[in-house]
Amino acid sequence: MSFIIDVKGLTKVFKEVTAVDDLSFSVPKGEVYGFLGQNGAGKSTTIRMLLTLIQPTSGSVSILGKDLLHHRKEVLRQTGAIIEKPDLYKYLTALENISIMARLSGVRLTKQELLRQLERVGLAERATSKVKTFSQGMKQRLGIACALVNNPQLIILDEPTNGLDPQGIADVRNLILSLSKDEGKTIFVSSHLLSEIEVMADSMLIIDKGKKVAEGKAEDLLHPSDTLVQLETANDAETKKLLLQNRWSTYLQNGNGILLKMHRAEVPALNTFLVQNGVEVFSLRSKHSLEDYFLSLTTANQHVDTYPN
Amino acid sequence: MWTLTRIELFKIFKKSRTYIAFAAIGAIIILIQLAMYSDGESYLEFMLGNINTAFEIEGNKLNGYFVFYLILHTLLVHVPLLICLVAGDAVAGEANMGTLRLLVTKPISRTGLILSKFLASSIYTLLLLTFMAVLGLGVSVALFGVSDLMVQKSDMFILLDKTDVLWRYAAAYGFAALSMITVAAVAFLFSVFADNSIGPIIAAMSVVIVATILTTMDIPIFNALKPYLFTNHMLNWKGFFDNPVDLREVLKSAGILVLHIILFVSLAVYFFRKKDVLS
Repeated sequence: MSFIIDVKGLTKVFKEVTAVDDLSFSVPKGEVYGFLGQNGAGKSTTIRMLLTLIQPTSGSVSILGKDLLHHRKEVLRQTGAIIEKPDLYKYLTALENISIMARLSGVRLTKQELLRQLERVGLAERATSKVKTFSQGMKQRLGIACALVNNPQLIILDEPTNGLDPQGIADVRNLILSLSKDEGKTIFVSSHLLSEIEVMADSMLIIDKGKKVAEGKAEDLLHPSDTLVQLETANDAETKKLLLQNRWSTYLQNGNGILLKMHRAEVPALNTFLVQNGVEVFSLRSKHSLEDYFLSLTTANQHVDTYPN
Repeated sequence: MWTLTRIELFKIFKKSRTYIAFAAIGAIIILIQLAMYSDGESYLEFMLGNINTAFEIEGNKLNGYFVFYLILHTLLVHVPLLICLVAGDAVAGEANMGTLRLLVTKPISRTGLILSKFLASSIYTLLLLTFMAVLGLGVSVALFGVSDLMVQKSDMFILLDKTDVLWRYAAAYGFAALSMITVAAVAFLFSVFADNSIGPIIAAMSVVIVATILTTMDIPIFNALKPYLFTNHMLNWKGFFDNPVDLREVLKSAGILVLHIILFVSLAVYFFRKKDVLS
């Protein structure tokens, strides 16, 4: 398998804070690669190192088979990116912005070609409007058009759906999938939402406090056999006793309430069993164990101070 | 490099703040010209003082060359502040808008990027000075005509023949350009360290003001510093209006200004190449 990004032992220390700690991962060619972590986990710092915005304290980055440090220009010529929010020149029009980005990327496109790029993200009609009049979603789409203007092999998107409405999120998601499936681009996309990454990514990497927590194929990490089912019934003690008397007992997990770990395909059968045995079910919620794990990561470091009146 | 510089110039001239300096200079020049047109003789009488009673000076003293000299004298003290507006914004303004990270992720070298920005700031400075020269000299000559130029020095008046004036203005323009590019280089260096343009603009203005004060104060401890202060050399454009011109002194000052530009720009390149772009 060929890798588009190959990172080894990447570390960044800001004064006394280690933002990224000995991070290693490989991004396969042609895939959508999800990069997950809570806010402050080190995602943006990692992405900035991949794009030469900041210098690593140690470690190596190879992109498109070339060492980033020594072949910076060649690598960036094949790369398109949006880092955090797509900041563009607000006092310029959409067409002027994309034209500048094309020239900076080393490509010369005619006005018609630039308009086609804007058309791809639904902004052709606003080509001559100044960016300061655009909504957040339009800016995001223009940012994506600018990132794609040099027809890059690798596209790096840092939280591309931040600040978008549901329709905007769906549009960006569809564009990412289309770029990967139809055009064979490799897309490295970061997010702090597992739900967002799991619908797009072929592979994923989870980091916490700058360290790798999990990496692998999405289908392996999100395998349906790891589905957790949380039950709430009229009488939890009686229900638990009932479940222990038959095949469901093997799925029962320790802890408060009723929690079962099973293959996702078996969830309807459990529901039928409960109904047939007259159990009054208030709620049956299934979620992937990785989601639980990821949630624990994202909430572990958050606390709210409360003050007495 | 030229492509990058053209892009930078395009961005500079698309910003409305760019035209503040042109508008300010245009307004000051026109105000001075109108003031001299309506009451220039009184100003001349005040300036000449006892000279008028001791000597009889023939010809058109209030001519276009004289008015432009007056304009230069007034403006070249304040133009640095206007130049700081653009040079101080060159990198810090991009950091503030978030576009600096866009630029740095493009396949262009950081050195090329920073040099093209400085080149664009320098071209802007030259255009501003050209505007000042065309409006100041052109309109003054049209309004007041040409005659011999009378220049007031600290202890004497120098009378320059009208045929001997234009080359002096051209040379003074070149020297003033060098002085102003030095100021642009100071603002530019500060711009590399900041994430908004207000900081470097104020810092560069402060440096110019403090150094100018040190230059003008005649105190022994400051006198020792003066040869190293760029502000001490910036005003040597006036040397072209001495008779004869002390070319050695003027070229020495020009050389020192060039060295300052090289130093400030080299530092800007060095720090920008090492800078972590976090904004």
